[in-house]
Amino acid sequence: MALPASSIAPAANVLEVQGLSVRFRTPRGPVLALRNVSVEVPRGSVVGLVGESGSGKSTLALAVMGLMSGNASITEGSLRFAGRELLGLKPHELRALRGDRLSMVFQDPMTSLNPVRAIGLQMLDIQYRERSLSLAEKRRKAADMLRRVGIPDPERQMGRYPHEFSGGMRQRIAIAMGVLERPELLIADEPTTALDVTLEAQIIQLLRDLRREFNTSILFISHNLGLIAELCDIVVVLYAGEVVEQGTVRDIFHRPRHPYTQALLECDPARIAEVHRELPTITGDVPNLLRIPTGCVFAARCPSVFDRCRVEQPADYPAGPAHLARCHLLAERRDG
Amino acid sequence: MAEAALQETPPAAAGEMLLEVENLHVRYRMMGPIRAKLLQLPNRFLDAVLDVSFRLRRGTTLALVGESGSGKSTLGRAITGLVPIAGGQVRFEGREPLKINPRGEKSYHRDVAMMFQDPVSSLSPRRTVRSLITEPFVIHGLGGRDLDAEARRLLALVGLPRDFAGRYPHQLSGGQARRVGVARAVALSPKLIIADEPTAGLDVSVQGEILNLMTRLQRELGLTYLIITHNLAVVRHVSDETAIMYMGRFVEQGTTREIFERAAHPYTAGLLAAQPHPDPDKRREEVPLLGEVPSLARRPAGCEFHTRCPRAQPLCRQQRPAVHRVSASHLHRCHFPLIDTP
Repeated sequence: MALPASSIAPAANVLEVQGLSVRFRTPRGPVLALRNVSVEVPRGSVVGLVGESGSGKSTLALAVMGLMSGNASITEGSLRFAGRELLGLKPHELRALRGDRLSMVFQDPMTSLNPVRAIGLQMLDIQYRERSLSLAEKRRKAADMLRRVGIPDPERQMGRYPHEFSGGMRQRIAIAMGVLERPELLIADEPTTALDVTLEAQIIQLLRDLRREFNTSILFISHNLGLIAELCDIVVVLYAGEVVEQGTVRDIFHRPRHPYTQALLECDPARIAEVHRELPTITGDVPNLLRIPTGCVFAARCPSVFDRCRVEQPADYPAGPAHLARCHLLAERRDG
Repeated sequence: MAEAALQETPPAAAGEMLLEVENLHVRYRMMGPIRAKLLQLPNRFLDAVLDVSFRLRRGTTLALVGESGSGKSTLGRAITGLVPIAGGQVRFEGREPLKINPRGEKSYHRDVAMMFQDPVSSLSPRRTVRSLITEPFVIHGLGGRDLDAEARRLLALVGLPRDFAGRYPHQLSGGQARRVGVARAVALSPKLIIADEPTAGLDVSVQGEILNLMTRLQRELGLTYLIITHNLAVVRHVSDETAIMYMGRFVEQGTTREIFERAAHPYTAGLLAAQPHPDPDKRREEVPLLGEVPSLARRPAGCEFHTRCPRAQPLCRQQRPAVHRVSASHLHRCHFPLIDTP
C-alpha cells in the first residue's frame, strides 16, 4: 500500500511541501506557526496529519490552498503541487487550480456551503470551467456524485437548501462538491469531528471508496488517532508547528520513536485495554509560539529529556526506510 | 483482559439511591392543534424522552450514550428542571423536587449542578474567572460569604493557579476553560453533577486531565455523576453504569462491563463497532450502522430501530419490544437480542 517515500521519484508526489515556515503577525509579536515543515503526498495515497490543537495542522492545509489569513506569510520553503511551484503563483493561476485539481473539505460544512442557494445550483456553480458541458449534463453529473456519496433521490434534493439537511448529509454534500471535479488532491480538515461515530464511520468509508474509484490523493487532518489508523497510509505528527515524526501508518502506530508520538498514543483511551479510572495525560503545556524554546520543542514535557535536548535542536533521524523522527534519542542510539 | 481491573468497586458511600427516575416522558410542542389537524399529523408533539427509568446510586457514575437526537441532553435537562416533564417521576433523595414547582425548588438547584458542553461559550466573555466561579453563590443569595476565599478554594480544588482569578475566558486554553466549568459546577457542593459531553472537542492528552479531575472530585466530595456523551472509549474507563439511548428510549442499560462485554441490543453492538480502532491492523471493512436516526416527528412503528437494524424481522416492524431483563442490572428492549436472555 504505502510506498516508502525514498523510493518515489519526485513526479510521483502530488504534493511536496519542503522546509515550509509560516509566520503570523500578531499585536504581541510574530508567531511562528509552522517551522521548517516537510511533507510529501505520494499520488493515490492518504496522508494523515495528526496533532493537537495549535500544532499547525490547519495552517498547513490553508497554506497549500493559498487561503491563509492576511496576517500570515510564508517566510521560507516551497509548496509544489503536481511538480509545479505554488508559491509566487498569481491569484488567478491559483484560482484555476483550486476547486478543480486541488480541493478542500472543512470541519463544518455550513461554512463552505452557501446558506441561501439551493445545493443543486451550488454544484452547477462549481462546474463553471466546463464550457463544453450543457446545463443538463452538469446537472446529471452533480446528481450522480450526490448519489455516489449516499444522498438518496438526488434530483429532488438538489432544490433544497443546506439547512434542510442533517449534519451528516451536509458533510456528504460538501464531500461531493469537493470531489466533483475529480481533484488530484483532496484536503480534508477534521471532516468528521462534528458527526456521530456512526456517521463518522460512513464518511471514512466514503473517503476510502472515492480514493479507490478516482485515485484521489487525500491529505487527511485529524486529532483522532483512531481515524488516522483507519484511513491513512502515511502519518505525519505535528507538534507546536514542527513535524516531530513521520512514517508509514504501521511505523507510527506500532513503532513510534518520538516520545511525543508515544505519549499521544498512550493517552488514547481506546488503546488502553484494561479499564482504568486514572487516565494517562501529557503533563505540562504546549510551548508558547511567541517564545519558541531553544532546543527540542517537546523538551519541557518529555519524559526522556536530557541536557542536549534543552540546548540543541534535534535533526530528523531516520528510524526506518520511510520513517523519520526529530529526536536526539535516535542519535544517541546510533552513536552508542 | 485482566480480571482484577474489570472488577467494579463501588465507592464506600455507595448503596443508597440518590436519584430515581421512573417512566420519564418529555415532549416538545411542534405546532398548535389546528395546524396539526390541517396537516393531518397524528402527533403535534415531539417525544424527546419516552418511558425512561433508572436509578443512580450515590457516589457512582452513569453514562448516557447515543447519537445526536437520541434525547440524552434533553433527559439531562429534564432532570435538572430546565425542560418541563410531561409524565413520570424524578425522585431525588426520596423527594419529588419537580412536582410542586416544575422548574425545581431552589434547594434542588444547589444539589444538582450542570456542566455544559462548550465551556468557552458557556462562560460569559466579559467576566473574570473569579466572578464566574463565585456567581453561583450570588445567585443563591450567599453573596455574604467571603467570595475571594471561595474563589481561592475552588481554583485550588480544580488545580488552577490562584492568579487565574483575574483572567477572562478568552485567555484560557480549552482544558483550563473546562476546569473553570468544573469549578462552577462544584461551587455550591452539589450531590449530583450532570455533565453534558465533558470532554468533547478536547485533545486526548487534555481529555485525560479533565476526567482524572472529575474522578478525584468524585472520590473527595462523594459526587454522583450523570455523564452525557457519545465517546464510548471514555465511558468504558469512567462510568459504573451505562445506558444506551435511541430516539428517546433506553434500548439497553446495565453495568458498563455488561454493556461492553455482553451487549444484547444490535444498536449497542453497532455503536461499539463504529468506534475507530487506533490500530492500522484492525481496520473495519464494512460500516457497522448505516443511515441516520429517523426524524422524531416520524417515529417508526414497532421497534424504532428496525429501519437501521441488520437483524430486523417482520415482528420488529409491528410490535414494540418490551423490556427484557438479562440480570438484575442489565435490561434491553429487543425481540432478537444478541445474547441469550434467561
